[in-house]
Amino acid sequence: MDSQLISSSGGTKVDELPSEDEAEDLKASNKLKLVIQRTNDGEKTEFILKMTTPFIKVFEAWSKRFHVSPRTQRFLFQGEKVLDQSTPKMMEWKAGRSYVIDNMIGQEGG
Amino acid sequence: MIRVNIIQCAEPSILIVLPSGSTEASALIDAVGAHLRTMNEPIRYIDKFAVAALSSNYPAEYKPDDTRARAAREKERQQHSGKRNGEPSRNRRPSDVLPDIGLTKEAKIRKKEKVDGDPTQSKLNFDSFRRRSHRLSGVPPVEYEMLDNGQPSSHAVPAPVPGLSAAERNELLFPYPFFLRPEINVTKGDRYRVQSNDFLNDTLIEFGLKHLLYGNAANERHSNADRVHLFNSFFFTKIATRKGLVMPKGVWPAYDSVRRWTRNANIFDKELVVVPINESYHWYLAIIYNPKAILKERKTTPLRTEEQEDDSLPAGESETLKQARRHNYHDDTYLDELMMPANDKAIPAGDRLRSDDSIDPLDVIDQTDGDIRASLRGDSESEVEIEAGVSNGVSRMSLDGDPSGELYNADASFDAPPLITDTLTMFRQQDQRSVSVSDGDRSGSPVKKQKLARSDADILDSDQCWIMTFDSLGTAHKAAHTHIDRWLKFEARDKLGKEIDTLSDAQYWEATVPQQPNFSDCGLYLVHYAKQMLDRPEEMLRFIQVRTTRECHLQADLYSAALLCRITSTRNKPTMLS
Repeated sequence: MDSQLISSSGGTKVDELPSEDEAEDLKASNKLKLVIQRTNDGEKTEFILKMTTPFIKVFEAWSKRFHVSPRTQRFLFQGEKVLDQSTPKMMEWKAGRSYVIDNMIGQEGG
Repeated sequence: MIRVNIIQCAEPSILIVLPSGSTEASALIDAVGAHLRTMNEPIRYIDKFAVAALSSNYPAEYKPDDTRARAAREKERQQHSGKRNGEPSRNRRPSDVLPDIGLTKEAKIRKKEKVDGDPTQSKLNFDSFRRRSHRLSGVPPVEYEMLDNGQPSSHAVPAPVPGLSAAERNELLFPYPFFLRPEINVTKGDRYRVQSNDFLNDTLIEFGLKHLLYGNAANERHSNADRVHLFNSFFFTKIATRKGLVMPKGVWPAYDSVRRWTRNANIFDKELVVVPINESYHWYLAIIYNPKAILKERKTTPLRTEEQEDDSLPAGESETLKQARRHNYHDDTYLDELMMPANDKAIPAGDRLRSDDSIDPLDVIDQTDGDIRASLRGDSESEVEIEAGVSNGVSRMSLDGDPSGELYNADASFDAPPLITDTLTMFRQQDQRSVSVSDGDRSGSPVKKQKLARSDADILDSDQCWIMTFDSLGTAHKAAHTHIDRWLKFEARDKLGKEIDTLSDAQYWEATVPQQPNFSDCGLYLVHYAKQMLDRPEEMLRFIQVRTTRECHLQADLYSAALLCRITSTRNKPTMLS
């Protein structure tokens, strides 16, 4: 399994950078930490994933966990949509670091 | 107009798209075939269906062959010829016969490379997400080409739309922009939304706006692209949250959540900042014009907003304001009194001259211009005439510098700095047609009531930052102004190190724009407003800065009808959001 759900903390503060040991471990295994922050309550869910794992895997796991359809959810990194098919490598993310993705609910209107 | 698209397939292939009804198709194909033959490239397969489809505008039943179907036909042909030659190929397993048949060794290598090219992608096996080329998934290639007369070319007209299953809805149609790093995925479900006159979603709005900037081709970038900043629709959702509004001065958690959104762009260098807004299942557009103007130093005392209590105002004033908050704000007289400077409070409220219950004699004398304006407006209500006259007279008095006019100036909109509190904003929202106008001299008394006037703004020539909202249901959105104005100030503090209290205020303007005739088109209208603002900002600003008269409303209705024709014809072509 490429992505691994390691913990879920209800609204606690997650640091931008993992602790040094953890960062070393992640770097050694060429992985990084991804935190998805839920839109309504700010609940944070952490994933460890490889540099080449497409984000769709994470999103589907996350959606399954919170019992929502991935189709209705949007995931933003610094205001830009994170696409299903892209990978940390394509985003030029660095191994051993931690990144926070905002979850939003898809909007529609008429 | 001839486009040659090279589409990545297992085998190298060429797709030639011709205008509808072209008789040159076969001639061109022959020419290309001859050229390929001279290049010693054997033509193994010509897609007869594709040729047929080219001449008949992609009929709905057209399903381009995928490799497997093609291989199956090849196999059939093989077996057929084998039988004829008396050598039935019964020992051959189907997998041996499958796509590799008839391929040269070179092509096989190419194919292997294609499969092995991206190891991460090939491992993907999700039902809900499978990236396919259009050719393989049976979708006619999406063409954006406009004909020379500006009308969308006809070959994109879709057949009646069949329903989509959940998995199909999630299927990727194309990533966009085409020639840059993709930023959004448009899915089949999104296309279905457009085809079935459903509400537009955030992806389609973002696509529509980005399409204005990036266009279809690598070199087709909007000339203003560098002077425009686009936010997506989640930006306003983030900053409009009520969470954490009661915070110490200068702390605003909502800003922190969008602080890094602009890390690569200095929005104060931009001319226009486009903020699409979704509220209660309705789309409307906010545009920040000339954002750098808020960096100018404010000349009067700082803003008093609810979350930014400060002590720079006289104690009596702030006490009055607090009192005002506890009071009924709908009482105009009371609010007027409250907003007067403390030294003017000696005069009873009833004695003061206000536009809506008594008329200054000077203003009546000076009413000629106002009459003209009111009659231009085509509005027979005397209230409007009086109001126009009063505004006009007051502005003249201030020009003449008549000291006796000071008192009335306190009520006049032309000199008053805007006092923006959440409560006042809410109060103003009671009167949707009103607009706040403020420019010119700001050296008057620190707190003045801003008059709700029906007059025109001077957006183009004023040296101020304007936040305009474009709503196809014709509602004012002062709250949007409040949030965006606050965001601009926090942005200036965070990125440029300015003090929030020293920054000028952005002005609000509700643009009167063509209205949607139904309950589903507001997303399209939003994109259209943005397109007009990007394509010809000056003309558009000149148009919207005038309060529309009744005649203008007629024109707007006509324009609306014309736009509707355009949009409905466009609407059937999901990809033509222009």
